[in-house]
Amino acid sequence: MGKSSLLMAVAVVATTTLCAAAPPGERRNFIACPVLQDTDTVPCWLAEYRGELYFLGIQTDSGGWSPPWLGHRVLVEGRLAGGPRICGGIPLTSDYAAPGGSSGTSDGQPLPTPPVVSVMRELDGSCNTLLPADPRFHILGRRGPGPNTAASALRRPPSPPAPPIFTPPYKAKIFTLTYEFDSELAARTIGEALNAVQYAQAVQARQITITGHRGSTLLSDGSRAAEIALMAQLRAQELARTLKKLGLPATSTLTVRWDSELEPADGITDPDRRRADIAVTP
Amino acid sequence: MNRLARAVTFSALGALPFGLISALAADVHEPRTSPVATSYWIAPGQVGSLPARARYHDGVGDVEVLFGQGPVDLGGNAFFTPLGSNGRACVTCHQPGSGMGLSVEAIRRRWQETQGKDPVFAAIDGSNCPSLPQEQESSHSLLLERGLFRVSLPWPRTSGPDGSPVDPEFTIEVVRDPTGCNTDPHYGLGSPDPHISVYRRPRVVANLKYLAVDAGAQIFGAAGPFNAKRLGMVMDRDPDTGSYSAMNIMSDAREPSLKMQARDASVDHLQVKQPLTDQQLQSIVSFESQVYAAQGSDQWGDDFSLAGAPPSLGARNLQQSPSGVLGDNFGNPAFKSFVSWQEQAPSISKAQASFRASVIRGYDVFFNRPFWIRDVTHINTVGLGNPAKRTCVTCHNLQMVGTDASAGWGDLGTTNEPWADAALSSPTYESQRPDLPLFKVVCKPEARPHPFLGRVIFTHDPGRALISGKCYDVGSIVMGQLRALAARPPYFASGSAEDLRAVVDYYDRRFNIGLSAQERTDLVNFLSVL
Repeated sequence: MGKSSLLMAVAVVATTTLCAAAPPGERRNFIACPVLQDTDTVPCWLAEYRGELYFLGIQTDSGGWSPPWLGHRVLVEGRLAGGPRICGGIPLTSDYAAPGGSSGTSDGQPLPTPPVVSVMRELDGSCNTLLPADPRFHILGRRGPGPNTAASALRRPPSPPAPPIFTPPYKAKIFTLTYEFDSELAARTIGEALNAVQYAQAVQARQITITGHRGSTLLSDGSRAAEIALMAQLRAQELARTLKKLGLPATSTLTVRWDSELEPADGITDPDRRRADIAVTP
Repeated sequence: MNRLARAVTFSALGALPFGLISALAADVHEPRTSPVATSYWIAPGQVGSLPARARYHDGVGDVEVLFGQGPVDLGGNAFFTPLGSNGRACVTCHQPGSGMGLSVEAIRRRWQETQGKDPVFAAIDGSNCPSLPQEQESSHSLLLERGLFRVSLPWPRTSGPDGSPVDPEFTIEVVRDPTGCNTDPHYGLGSPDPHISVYRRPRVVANLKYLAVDAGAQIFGAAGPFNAKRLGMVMDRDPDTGSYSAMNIMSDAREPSLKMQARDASVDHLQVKQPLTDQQLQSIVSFESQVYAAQGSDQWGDDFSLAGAPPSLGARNLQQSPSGVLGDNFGNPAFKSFVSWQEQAPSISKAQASFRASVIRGYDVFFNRPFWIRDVTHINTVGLGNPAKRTCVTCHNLQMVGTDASAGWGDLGTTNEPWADAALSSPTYESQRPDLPLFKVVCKPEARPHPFLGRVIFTHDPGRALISGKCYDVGSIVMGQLRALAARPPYFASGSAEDLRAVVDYYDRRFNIGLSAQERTDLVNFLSVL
C-alpha cells in the first residue's frame, strides 16, 4: 500500500466512530474482506463478520447487483434473510432490489435479493481468498460461467424510451441519485440525471441546482463508517459534468454546491442518504 | 468436454499440432474467387485501380479485402491521395496487403526497398522521435521492430473532444525514456508545448460498420446515452449527427466519429498545412465505411468465400451480416457456427481435416472454456465482480468482430506494470533492454484510484487516461477487432505480442488459465482464420 493509500485508509478508519446506538438485531452492517467460494457453476460471494460467514450473492451479469472485488474490502449493509445457509454462509438480504429479480437458485430455492454491497475505494491486499469449488453447493445462476443461455440474450436491446411529455403548470422538481459508499459514480441511478435534463429542457428551466451529500452508515458494532470528506463535492462536480454533457437548456443557470456535513445514520436507510439532488426550477 | 461445451455440439476431432507460421506480407496472387491486382504496398498518389475483391498472401493463406462499392480508382480517392506535407496518405498505414492495418513485415520490407525514404518513416511519428537523426535505422526501431507509431498528445490535458474541461486526476513522471522524446526539449513533457509520446499500433480501417456506430440506437438501447459499463458516464457525441458514439474507433477513444478521426489523423500523421475540406473528409469516410477485411483462405485449401464455409468467415460475410449483435450467447454466437466444417467431405486432405478440427476446438475454447478473469478495469468493475469466472467471449462479445460492444476500453495489463513486458519487477529487466518509455503515474488524494493498481502506477502508455484524465482509466485501451489478424502482426496496441501464439501465451500467463499445448495451438488456428 502506497503512502497516500495508507493515508486514505487511515482517514476512513478515523471517521469510523463509536455511536451510542446500534442497528436492529437482524441487521448486519459491517466492513470486511469478501471471500469467493467457487462452485461447479458460478461462484458465490461471502464475507466473514465476527466469526460468522455470510452469503452475499452469486456472480451475475453486469446488469445485476454489484459483486465484490478481491483486493478490496466491502461495506455490507443488509439483514438476515432467513432460510438455510447458501454456499456455507448465512444469507443476507436487503430492501434495495437489484434489477432482474432473483439471480438464481440454491438447492432449487430462489436466492434472496442481495444486501447492499459497496466496494471500498482503496486496495487491500489481504482480501485475497478464493476457495476451490465445493461439490456440496448446488448453485444455478440466471447466467452460468459461459455464454448467456437466457432467451433475452437473443433480443436486441429495447430502444430508449421517448422523452416524456410535460404539460403546464410546471412545478419545481427534485431528482435524486443514490450511490455506493465512497463513490461519485452513479452506477445504477444515472437515469435520474437524464430525467432531470429532459424535464429541464421541457419546461425551459430557469434554475438547476445540484447538491452533493456525504453519507455514513451505522455499523452493527455501533460505530459509524463515514464517507471521505470530499465525497459530497466529488458527487456534485461529477454530476455537473454529466448534466452539461447531456445538454442543459440555454434558459437555465446551473448552480453546483455540496454539503460536506455527514448525513445521519440509522443502520437501515443509510444507502438513501449517499446521494446528490438535482433541483429543477421552471 | 464440460456441459456448456456439449451444449454447442462442437465435436472433438483428431488433433494435428499445427503452429501458426509468422505472417509475411507478400505479393498478391490470383485467388480462385476474387480478381486481383496489386502488390503488398500501395504508395500514396499511385495511379491505377483496385478490384472490388482482392487477396494477399499472409503466411497462413490469404487475407481478403472487399470494397462494397466496387473497384477503387486510386487517383480519385482521398484515402490514397497524399494530402499533407510528408507525402503520406491514409493508405500508408492502412494497407490492403496488411488487411487494412500494417504488418511489421511490410514495414521492414518497405525500409529495405526504399532505404528508409518511404513516407511511412516520416520523422513526425514514423521515428522514435523527430529530433533523432532520421537517416539512421535505429531512430525508427520501434516502427521496424514492433510496428509502433509515435502518438503525441498534449499533457496535461485541459479539454475533451467536445471542449468540456478535463482536470487530470494524476501526475506523470518520466521514469525511463529510451526514445528520448518525452524528455526532449522541443517534443517532451517539459517543453514549452508539453506533450507525452506514447507508441501504438495502427488500427484496422475495415469492418467499421461494426465499430463506428450510433451507440444509443445499435448497442445500448435503453441505456441511452450512458456508457453501459456503469460508470455513470455520458458517451461522446458525433458533432455532425448529434448521436452518441460507441467510442470504439481509436485506441484511446479520443475521437467519436470517423470524420473526426480522419481530421485528427490528417494533422498528426499526414501533417496537412490546411485543414481537410468537408468534401475530402466525406470522401475518406465514405471509402472507409465500405471496406471489409478478413482472412480469405487457409493454406490447406479452404476458400472461405465458397459455399459450405462457416458463415462468419471471409470478407463477404462481414459485409452482409448485421452490426450491433451481441454474440455472448449460444443462440447467436460471436463467430456464428462452424458446424459446416464438422461434416468432413471425403475429398479433403487429412491435413485439411485436422486443421478444420483444430479451428473448431479453438472456437470451443474461446467460447466455452471458463477461467478467472481478474483485475481488469472496466471488465471486473462493471458488475461482474473480481474475479469473474467467464470465457473469452464475455469481453470479445460483438458478433463478427469480437470487440466489446460497450465502449470497449479496459486495462488488460498490456501497458501497465506488472503485466506489461519489460516489467520493472521482472528479474530480467536490465537484460531486456526495454525500448518503450516508462511513466510513473501518481493519483491525487481525492481521485478514485486505479481499481487494481492503486495510486501509483508504472505504465508504458496511460491509454484512455490521457484523454479522460481519470486515474481509474490508466492503462485502459480500446479493444481491437479480431479480423484479418494473420495479415497484421504484431498485436496489442503496444505491439508486444509478435504473433498470435504470443497473444494466447499472454492471456494464459495473465489469467493463469492453464491452457494445454493443444489448446494454445487450437486457439491460434482459430484466430488465424478470422
